[in-house]
Amino acid sequence: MLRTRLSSSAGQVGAEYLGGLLLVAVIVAALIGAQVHTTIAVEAERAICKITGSSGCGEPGVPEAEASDDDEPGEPDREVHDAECDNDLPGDLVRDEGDDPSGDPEADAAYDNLGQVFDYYSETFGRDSYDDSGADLIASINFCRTPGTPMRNAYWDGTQMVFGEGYASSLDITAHELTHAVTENTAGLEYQCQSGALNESMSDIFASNVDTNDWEIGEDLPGGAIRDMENPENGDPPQPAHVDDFNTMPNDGNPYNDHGGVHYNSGIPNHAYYLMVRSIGRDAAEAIVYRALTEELDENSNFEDFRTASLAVARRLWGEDSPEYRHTDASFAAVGLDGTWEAPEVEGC
Amino acid sequence: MRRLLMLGLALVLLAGCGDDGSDAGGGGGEERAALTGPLTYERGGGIAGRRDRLIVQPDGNAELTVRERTKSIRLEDAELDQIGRDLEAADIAAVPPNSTSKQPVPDTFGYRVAYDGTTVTTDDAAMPDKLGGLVTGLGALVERYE
Repeated sequence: MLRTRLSSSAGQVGAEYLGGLLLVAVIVAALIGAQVHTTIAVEAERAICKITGSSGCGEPGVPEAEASDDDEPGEPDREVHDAECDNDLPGDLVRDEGDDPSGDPEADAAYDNLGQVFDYYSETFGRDSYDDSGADLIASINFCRTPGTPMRNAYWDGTQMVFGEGYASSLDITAHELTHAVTENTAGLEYQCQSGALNESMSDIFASNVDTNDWEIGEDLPGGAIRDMENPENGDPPQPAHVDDFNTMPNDGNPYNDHGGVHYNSGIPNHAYYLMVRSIGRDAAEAIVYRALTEELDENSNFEDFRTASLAVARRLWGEDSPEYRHTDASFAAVGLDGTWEAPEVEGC
Repeated sequence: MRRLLMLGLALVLLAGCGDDGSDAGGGGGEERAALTGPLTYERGGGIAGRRDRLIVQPDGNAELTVRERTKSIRLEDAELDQIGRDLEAADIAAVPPNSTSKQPVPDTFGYRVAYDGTTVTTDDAAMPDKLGGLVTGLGALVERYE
C-alpha cells in the first residue's frame, strides 16, 4: 500500500516535472522565435533604410538611448534647468517641454535654441534628436564650477549640455554643443589630435548651418566670437586655414595643449566647408558632411579621411562628373588636402 | 538697571574677543598663508580652446601668458593672500596627481597646478571638490589681467 502510494506519488511528481519542462521549453521556443523575428525585422528595416538613402539607420548591437514616454518622433523633448551658480547638475527644472515661457530670458532662450537645433536635424536629415532615437534634450544654465563664480564656458558632458551664464542664449553655441552629442552617437571621433579637431570642426560646421547669419562662431557670447570659418586666422585664438600651418602642439596630457590642438586645427576643415558652401551651396554641402559624419567616418578618422569620405558621398549622390563632386574636391585641395597630405609628427598623436 | 549695565558691559567685552588674527576674510596685520615658492597654473580648452598660463612668485610678481603673448603683472596683496588660502584648502599634496576624465569631455577646461614639487592635473568633469576654489580663483585672475 505504502509502496503503491509512493509509486503513484512518484509518477505524479514525474508527470508534473515533465509538464513543467515542456512548459519551459514552449516559453523558451517562443522567446527565441520572437527574438529571431525581431532580429530579422530589425535587419530588414535597416536594409530598407540604407537602400533608400536615409540617415541614422541604426547599427546592430548598439543599444538605443531611452526616449521619454511622451516623446513623439520629430518633436523635441526639452528640459531646461537652472544651476543657480552652483555645481550640482542638472539644477532646478525651470522649463519642461510644452511649458509656457518661464519669464527668465536665459532659460527661455535656451529652450528656444534647443528647439531650433532639434528642428534643424529633424527637418534637414530626418534625425530624431542627437541619438536619432528621440533622446531628451537636457540643458543646465548658469552653471558655476565653483559656487558663486560664473563659468565662462559651455560643454556637452555626455548626458546633457552645461552652460555658464550668458552662453545658453547663443544659438550657434547650443548647436555646437548638441552636435558634439551627434558626433558621439555616430562617428565617435576621438577627442584628440586630428580626429579631435574633426570632432570640433563638425560642431562648428553644423553650428554654421543652424545659425546662417555669418561665418563666426560665438559672436553672441559675452566675450564675442571665438572662431571665424571664413577667415580662421581671425579667430580668438587664431586658427590655421591650411595644412601648411598645421599646429603641432603635443597630445601629452597637459591640458594647456588642448588634446593636441583640437580647437586650433579645426580651422582647416572648417575653412574647407566654408569653401564648399560658397561653391555648391549649403544644401549640398551639409548633405555631404552629414552623410560623411554618420556613414563614413569612424573614431580615428583624420583630415584626409574626411576628404575621402566627402568625395565618396558626393560621388554617390551626384556622380564624379557633377559640380558637387568637383567643387568638393577643389575645396579640400584649397586647404591642402588633396589625398597626398601627410601630417607632421606630433607627440602623442 | 544694574543688570542691564552688566549685560551691556559683557556684550562689549565679548565683541572684542572676536578677532584672533586668523580671520580668512582679510584685514591688515593678519597671519598670511603665504606662498613659499613659485606657483604655475595652466588652463586649456573650453569651447574657445584657450591656452592660459600664470606663474606667480611669492612676492606677488607674476607672468601671464594668454593668446601666446606673455606679460608681467603684479598681484595685489589680497589676491596673493587668497591664492595662499585656496592652496591650503586644496591641499594638493593629498589630491591624486591626475584627476581627469577617462575620455576627454568636449569643450571642458583642463587645468594643471604645480607648486612646491607637486603637480595636479584635472578637468571640469572630474575635478575633486577640494581643487575647485584654487583653479577657479586662478582662472579669475587670468581673466582679470588678460
